[in-house]
Amino acid sequence: MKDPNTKWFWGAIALLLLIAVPYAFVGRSNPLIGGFPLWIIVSFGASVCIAVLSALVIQTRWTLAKHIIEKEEG
Amino acid sequence: MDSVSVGQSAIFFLLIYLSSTIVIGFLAMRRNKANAPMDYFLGGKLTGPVVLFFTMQATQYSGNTFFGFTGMAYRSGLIWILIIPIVCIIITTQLSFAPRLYVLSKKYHYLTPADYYADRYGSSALRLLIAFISIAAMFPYLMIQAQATGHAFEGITAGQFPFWTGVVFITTVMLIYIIIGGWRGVVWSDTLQGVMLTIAIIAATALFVSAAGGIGEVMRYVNETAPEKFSVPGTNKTLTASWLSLIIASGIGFAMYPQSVQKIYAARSEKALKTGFTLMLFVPFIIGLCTVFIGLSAWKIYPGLQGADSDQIFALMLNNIIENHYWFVVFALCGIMAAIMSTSSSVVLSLSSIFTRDIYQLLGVKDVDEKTVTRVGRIFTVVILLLVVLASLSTSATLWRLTEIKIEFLMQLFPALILGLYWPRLAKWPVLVGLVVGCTVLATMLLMGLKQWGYFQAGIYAFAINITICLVLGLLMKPDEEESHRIATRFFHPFKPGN
Repeated sequence: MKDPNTKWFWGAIALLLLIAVPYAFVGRSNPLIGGFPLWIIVSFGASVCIAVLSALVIQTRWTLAKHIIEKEEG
Repeated sequence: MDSVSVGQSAIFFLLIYLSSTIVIGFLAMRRNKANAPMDYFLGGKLTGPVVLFFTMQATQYSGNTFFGFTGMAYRSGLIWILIIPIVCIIITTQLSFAPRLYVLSKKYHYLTPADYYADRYGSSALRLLIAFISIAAMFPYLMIQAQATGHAFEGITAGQFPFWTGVVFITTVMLIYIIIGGWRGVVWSDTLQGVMLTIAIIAATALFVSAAGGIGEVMRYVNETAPEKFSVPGTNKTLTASWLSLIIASGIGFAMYPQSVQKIYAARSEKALKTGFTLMLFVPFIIGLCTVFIGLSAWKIYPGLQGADSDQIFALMLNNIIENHYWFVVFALCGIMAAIMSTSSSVVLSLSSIFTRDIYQLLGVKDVDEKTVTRVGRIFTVVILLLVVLASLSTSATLWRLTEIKIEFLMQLFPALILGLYWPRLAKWPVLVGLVVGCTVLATMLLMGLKQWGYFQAGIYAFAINITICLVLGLLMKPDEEESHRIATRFFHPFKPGN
């Protein structure tokens, strides 16, 4: 029985959110990488990490009903 | 929408689409074996992963995706990319409560969000309060969607039919497929509408970017003519106030939409729910990138639009390509209609269930058979849609103000939900006090004009006060022994390893 709510998961999400908001690049548009500012690549990357981490947690650390409901229903 | 003129064939195409939703309603009716509330409102809790994903997607993205989102991207530039974490975090927030709530909803047959609160805290007052907040938050939202259908209809028919006929006609179509098909009618239509919405926005992005000279050319032009759209605007304070605060408020508030919570209840299995959630995590990347590129492409073709005019860029861009892509424009307009209708129908069904379960059944009408309850649910569906039509023709400033603050009120429902799932000690009084004080603080701040104060918006301060009250009073006021035993046995014992 696994519940996805763990301190490390929410800590990592909070950190990624702070990275996704481009605090380190206020007022800047340079350098450009492939025509896009670096900050957008960092922000987009952090968003990808939020989605991938959440997806991994959903798929690997969430098994509650299997042990409760499905056991009850036989 | 007034600027897109597509003529008679568009009306014909629109009628085909609207007829298909009614056919879906009839097909759904044939699958609704039991005339029970659980079947009408939640499809017997048998929704599979694919349909669950599309109904989640279609409900989350409304007509605002095409107009509001693209307009924001046009005005703010690349910083609009932050819409991606804003939407991602909604699903991540739901991950905090969905695993346990899903199990409890199956075990104890929950129908509405308030069913959980009333059961966990043993309080009918809390049920009514949750129902009231949900209705107050969602009804004006429904009104906005109805207005959007009126404008979309007016646009598609090139003004041949006035705004109010669109509101009445589209609402009637929705009413038919909701009444006859119930949950299945809504979610199967959502699947069609979700596919249309996705194809429309992706294809529109490709055509608009191409019309503007390609991504490279668009980026070069925007960087040269409006470099501020390339840089991170403001200061650390404004970044927090406008984005971090929004991410927190939206992440929690949108996760508490009653229709979203009910989609968790309706999943056929945990696996179906997990698949729906996983797919939903990646949709914001498609929608976010598409809306950014549409906004920037529109800047190249129609630079310098301000305010409400900039919210019309999607319509302007459609007009720009109509000569070479007539049928796509017609399809995109129907996609916009589909986006609005899918959001509305889910909200209508959710509000009907709230009226039926949390108000009608609570207020003394308990000993009625399931068929009667379902019939009452259908009557509420008609009444709600009738009120929506009337309200959407109104210009009441108060109603419009409510649409802006719904998320911040819905946020206030989160502490009782999450703490109730993980903290056995929490009883009804701390939750009731926290919720009432939180909502009062929020309403007071808004009435005083403090929508935003310092780094955060009003809802976040109210939320902090609400959760602090729950924690402090929860420590001071322990439930009595009998209640403690009930809470432990009913809500925590099932999750203990080895049980």
